[in-house]
This record gives sequence, structure tokens and C-alpha cells, in this order.
Amino acid sequence: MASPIRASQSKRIDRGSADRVAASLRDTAAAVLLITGSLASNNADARGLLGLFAEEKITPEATPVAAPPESPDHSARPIAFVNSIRGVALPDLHQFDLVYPGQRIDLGDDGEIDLTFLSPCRTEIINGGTITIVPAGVDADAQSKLRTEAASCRPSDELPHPALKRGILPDEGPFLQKDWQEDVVNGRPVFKWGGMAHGSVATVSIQELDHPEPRTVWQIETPYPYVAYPAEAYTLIPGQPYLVTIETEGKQPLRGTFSVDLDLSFSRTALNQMVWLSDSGTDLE
Amino acid sequence: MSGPSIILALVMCLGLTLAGIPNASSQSVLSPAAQQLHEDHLSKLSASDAGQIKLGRDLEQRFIARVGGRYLNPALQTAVADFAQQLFLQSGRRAFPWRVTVVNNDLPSAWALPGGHVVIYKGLLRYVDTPDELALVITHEMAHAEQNHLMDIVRRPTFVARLTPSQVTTMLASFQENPIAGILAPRALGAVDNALFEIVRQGYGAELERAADDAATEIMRRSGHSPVRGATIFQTLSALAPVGATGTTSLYAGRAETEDRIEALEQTIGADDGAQPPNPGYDVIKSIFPTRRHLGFARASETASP
Repeated sequence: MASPIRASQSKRIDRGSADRVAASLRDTAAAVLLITGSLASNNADARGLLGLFAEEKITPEATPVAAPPESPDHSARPIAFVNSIRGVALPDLHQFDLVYPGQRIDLGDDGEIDLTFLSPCRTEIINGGTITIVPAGVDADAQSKLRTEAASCRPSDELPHPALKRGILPDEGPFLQKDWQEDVVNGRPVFKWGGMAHGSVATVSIQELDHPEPRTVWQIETPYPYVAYPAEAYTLIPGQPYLVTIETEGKQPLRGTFSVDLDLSFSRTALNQMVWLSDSGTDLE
Repeated sequence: MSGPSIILALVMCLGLTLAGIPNASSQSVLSPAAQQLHEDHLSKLSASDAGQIKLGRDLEQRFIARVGGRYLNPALQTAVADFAQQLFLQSGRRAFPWRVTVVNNDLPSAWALPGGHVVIYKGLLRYVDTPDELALVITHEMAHAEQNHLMDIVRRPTFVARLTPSQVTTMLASFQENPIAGILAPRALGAVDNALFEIVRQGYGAELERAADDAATEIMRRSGHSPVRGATIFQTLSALAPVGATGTTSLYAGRAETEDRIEALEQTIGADDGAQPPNPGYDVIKSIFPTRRHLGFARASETASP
């Protein structure tokens, strides 16, 4: 059913090239900001948009690996969203993850984490030390330096992560929510799914659905459990439905439908562009 | 059993399904408390403009939150409001503070609250293909509000018949605490909140849906829209509903009923004159939600199945 993918639309990300890709994405982010700024000039959050592409620094050989965080309470409501992690490799925490009460994060001497808290909405950038996520925010030790910035969050009960939705929307007559659910973002989407086994590669593909024969418009391979849709990829048409599929060897494919509405009134931060994919429909962690 | 009670029981036996209320047994007989609730209070609820406006205001925040909340696109909300305004101006209930809200819900649905609040799901805007179709959606829902259809259902003995004894007790207590004639006090409203929510979303039964179609036709004529062209939205909803699926919404009444409604609309209004009113806001709506053409495209949950 899928048509051949143009070579320019199909890429493979390997860990060695991650920084190069991130640098490229950062360069294009500024251009996207110029293009989209007029559409959301009231609330475009330049830090957020650029932060979206402040890719996690992965595999610097000399970076000390911190101790695994203590077990977070995944049954609780998530507290914050990880915009970026710099200068430290955290074994069980990655960019675009959600963090939960009880989660302990050791940033070492120079590690930095950029978190957007869901309620009240704000961004906190924490440098160094050990922090513990608590319902009200962060408990930090004396070594940590905290900087709080204003943020513009999408209402957390509208974020399409299953753990964030306060209530399940009711079906209506013959129309079932599970068949119609469609995540809407107001910029380039960021796709996130569950953990990846070491050495495995996920193939992410996007199909344009409202077409006589749905056609694949973009595809990429990645070793990470997330991918940010790059600016130079196929231009997603506002209002059109797209099907994103994540295929990993030995696992059931994950699928979700999404579309773009550039006029949605929240800023274009990574958090607000998330499209979470889950096979269980309950939680991704 | 008193004379009025016998008559009430007969009404129950004959007409339970007419109200379109599911789960009401045709063999039901009202308990004394339920009869009291019906006869002394619910049957006397006010259909005045003020009563309807208050009822709608009391329900709107809760109901809109339960179907996804207001869709956070101000340009879209303004465009839909601009479009609807031309129709609201043709209403026979001029005292209603008519308004429309687009909610963040992907289903192809719409409904209205008493007092003049039309609620449209963003999922429906993706499939509305012409200004006349959107006008028919809005005027059909306006008609439910204009004709007090929710109150009509609540006043029927069939409504009381579906309440649990606990709901009946709570409502009676509420009416005793707040003896303002004709008004559902907050406690009473809270007791039947879910029942009202289901009625508003599932529709009011064939009789009242036809009545809404007729009233919508009149409003559309006055505003210069074509009900014949607008009626194609019913065909779209039929195509979107899974084959064999049951259940209705405030707009969609099932395949067979939909065909009958379209035929009735065509017979009522005759030929289409081809004229088009200005339709402010429609282009903005369609720039945000371009009409989806391929109704049968594979959705996520369907393609995930083996």
C-alpha cells in the first residue's frame, strides 16, 4: 500500500551521528521559528522551540555515569517533563521522559536537567547535585543550582499521554473514541514510545491517511525511543490526518494518528508537541 | 392506586419507548415516590426562557469538560461563532443568549444545551463539507434548544422511570429544601446529571429529532441556506458509522432513520434554488479543518488489529 519513499525523506540515525543531527536540527529550528512565529507571535516560546532540539548528549565516553535513580512512583500522576539533559548520562532517564514523585536524579558536578513542571506550569533548570522529584516540584541538595523560568503549557489534561488524562472521553452512539482519537500539535511533532533494548533500532514512518491509498511521506530509523520530526522533512499539511507507525524487531508495531493545527494557543515547546505511543494504552514507562 | 396514578401507569406501558430513552422497561410502574417526583415537581419544571437559560448555564461547564473541554484555537472559535451568528439571528427564541463552543473531541458529533448553547466537536468539523451542512448541524441543535427538548424528556414519566430510588429520594429532598417552583436546584441537578448528559448526547428519539429537522429547515430557509444541500451531512455520518454499529447521537439516528430523514427533508422543502448566503468564518474553519474525503481510511486501532 505504501509508495516508495524518496531517498531524501528516509534516514537512519546512529548514535555516532546523533550530535551532528542535533546540530542540524538546532540550525533549522531558528528558521522554523521565523516561519511559524507569525502564526503564534503571542506565545511562541523561542526557548521552548530551540529547546526542542537541544538533543540529549549521549555517549560522551568521559562523562561519568550517575547512579540509577531511585524507583519513581509510576502509579502517581507525572510531575514534570524532561526537555533536555546535558553533561551527564542518566541510565534510566532520557530527553522527553516524564518524571514522577519519588524519582531521584543525580546530576553529578556539572550535569544539567531542564524540566517543565505541569502544575503550576513552569520550567526549572537544575545544574549539579542530587534532586528528588516531589509533588510540589524538586527537593535539591546544597550543591544544586536552580533557575526557574515562566512557561506556557498545554493544559495537562489535554496532553495525550495516558497517565495525564484525567478522564476518558465517553463514546457516543456508534462512534468509539478508540477509533477516532487523534493527537493534535501546533508545530513539528515529537514521537515518543517505550524503552528500546540496547542495540535495537526502531523504524518510524508516517503515512498521509486521507488519500485514496495512504502513502508514506517520511521514514527514519533510530536507536532512541523518540524522534523529533525534522524541519527539512516532508511538510505536514495542517488539518490532514497522519498515521505514525513505530516498528521494532520482535515487538508489535505501535501506531497513532495525529494532525497539525498551527493556530492552537499554546507555545511550541517539546512538551506541547508530544505524540506518545503505547501498546498498552495505560502508560509508557 | 389513584385515578391519576392508573392513567400514569397506562402512559408508561404505552409510551416508554417514544421518548427515546434507553433502559426504560415498558413494564415499569412508578413507585409512589417517583410518582410524587413526577407529578409535583418534574412535570411542572419551567420551560420559560429564564428557566431554560438557567438550566443550560448550570450544566454547560460540567458537560463541556466531560467531552474534552473547549478547543484551544481562538481563531476557530471566533470563525464558528461568526458563522453561527447568522443562524442565531433567525431564532424564534430571541431572549436566549445564543452561543457556540467547539470542543476538543475527535468524534463527529454535536449537541445543544437548554437556553441556546450549541456544542460542536472538532471531529465533526473535519467532515462538514459545505456551509449548508454546517448550517444544518447548527440549526438542528438550535431547534433542540428552541423547542425545550431536554425539558420535554425530563417532564415525561419515562424519565422518572429510569431513575434509581436513590436519585428519586435525593431529588425529592432537594425540591423540599429549595421549593422554588419550576427550577432544578443544584442538588437535584447533581442527582440526574449523568442521565441528562446521556440524553443530550444520545438524542431525543425519532419524534423529537424529526421535529428538530423541521424547525432547522425553517431557520435555514430564513437565513438563506439550503436544507437539501445541508442534509448530505447525514449521509456522511451514515458512512462514518461502522457497519452494524448501534446507538445514536444528537445528530445521527442510525442508517435507516437517516435515509428517512433525508427523504423527509427533500419532500418538505422541494427543489434547491442554488443561492448561497455570505457564510462568514467558513473559509477560516475549512483552513483549519479541511474536509476529509476518504471516509474509510484505516484508523490506528483498526490497523493495529491482526
